[in-house]
Amino acid sequence: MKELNWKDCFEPAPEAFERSVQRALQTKTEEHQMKRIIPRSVIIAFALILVLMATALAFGGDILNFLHAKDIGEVQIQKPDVKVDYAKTGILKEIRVDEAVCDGRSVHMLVTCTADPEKGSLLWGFDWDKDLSTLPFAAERAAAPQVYVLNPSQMVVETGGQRYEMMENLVKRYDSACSISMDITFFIDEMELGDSMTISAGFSLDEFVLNDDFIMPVAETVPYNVTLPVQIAKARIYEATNLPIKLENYKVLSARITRTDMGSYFEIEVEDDYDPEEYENSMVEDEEGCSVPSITLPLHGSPWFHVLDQEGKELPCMTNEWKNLDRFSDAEEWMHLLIREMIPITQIGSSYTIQPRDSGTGELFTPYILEFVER
Amino acid sequence: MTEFEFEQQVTALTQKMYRVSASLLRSPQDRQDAVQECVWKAWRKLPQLRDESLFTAWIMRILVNECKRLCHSHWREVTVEEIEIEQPDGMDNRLRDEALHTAVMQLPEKLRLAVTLYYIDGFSLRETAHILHCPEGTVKQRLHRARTTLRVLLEEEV
Repeated sequence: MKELNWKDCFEPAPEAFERSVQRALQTKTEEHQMKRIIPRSVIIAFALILVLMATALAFGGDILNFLHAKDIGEVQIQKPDVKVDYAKTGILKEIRVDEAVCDGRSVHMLVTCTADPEKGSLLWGFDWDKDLSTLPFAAERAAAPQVYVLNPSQMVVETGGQRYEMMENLVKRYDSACSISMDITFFIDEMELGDSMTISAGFSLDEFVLNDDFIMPVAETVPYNVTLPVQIAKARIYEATNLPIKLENYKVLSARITRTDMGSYFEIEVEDDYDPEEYENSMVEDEEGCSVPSITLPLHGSPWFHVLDQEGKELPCMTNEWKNLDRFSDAEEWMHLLIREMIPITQIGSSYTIQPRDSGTGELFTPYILEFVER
Repeated sequence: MTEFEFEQQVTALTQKMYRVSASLLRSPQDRQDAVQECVWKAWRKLPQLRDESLFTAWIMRILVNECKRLCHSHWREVTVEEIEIEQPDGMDNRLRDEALHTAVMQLPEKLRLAVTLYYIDGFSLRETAHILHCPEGTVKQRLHRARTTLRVLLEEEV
């Protein structure tokens, strides 16, 4: 391979990149101090002042109704300012946003799409290849003049002068053959928050042609914008006392629940518990003569966990994410992760069970009871 | 290491840093963000570096970390400039071997990074292993797999 002209594989660093390096060198002390002097808490405190001002003016008072659980939160809801850009004569008769609220950590919205029954019924985008007779309102849908597949588009959030592309968590419910409701939740705590945010999203409708090989021409695209004030809810922190522990072949280092009026955030820090030398010594040759490890590291797949209540019932997950922790090495095989989920509960019990799961293979591992105390 | 020496070493590494960030990040803006964060972080952590002879591998490891952090973020910040200007950093694709570049960028991330560090940036096996925080054997294995894959990809190209 040495005969390849490796030095030409990449173009030379552009001037803008070189300037970035020089700018970073020039500001290394300055930025270093700025980052320490203006921590996130100050930004949040500033946002909080703005929010309190907005709250005093705008809030009428209501409670949240997640699709999973009713009447759970006490965060007062701003009636969102929703602007929907589409012709009212279209297939979609209405996009309704009944709830749109944030607590400084995540945003939750309850969005309902309703089609004009005279034009057709709705089928959720990821259900199009399912047996339609097993879905709710199957008979009504079959009787409709046309079935349209409803697909959510990319969601973009604008706040604090920045734009963020979101990967939101979405849970849907069929309300009727023509109406679908969605809980949409996403984390915002790494954003630089302004005093309000505008969420831009949309739906596209494809014509669903039964018994026709997946030909689904786009019938309509409907964008919508939601503007809501940024609220920073007061938080209570609970920490697990019976950690760290080795579960199967990886370790749970710490666990924490942050409770706000809107819900609770479970954070679990895990790392692989393998000896690098043992891993290296496990190399065997595959059929192509390449060395491959015979040990599969537990966190190398799609590590996840379920949170179960005291009765062993799985709590619904509103949104979730995992990330490599910065303070650890950049090892690719040996993972050290922070996994977190938002759970729509506001009363914290003294114990919760976590059940690790590989979401790639679906394999469930031994559950473990975590004991929590308020910090 | 003095501040002046730090600045000189970082400046000398600009091209290597660009290639590593370009192998991991598509967006020119992300590459610039990653390298800036890397330089700031390296300056802050410099007192923790006990063996200065490892400076190059050490800072490259920080850069790889920063790139991965951006890669794996669930959201990505999009600046207005990024949307409005197609190639904000003046990248000139004519100055590279397009066939080789395309083939390398088709490799899985782990293999691509090993190839970039070892073949393109010229780090030794030991340094590459240090940057990637994995045993030398793993680097060898990745390079072997990368070569096999590249051979197929480049033959297809021809």
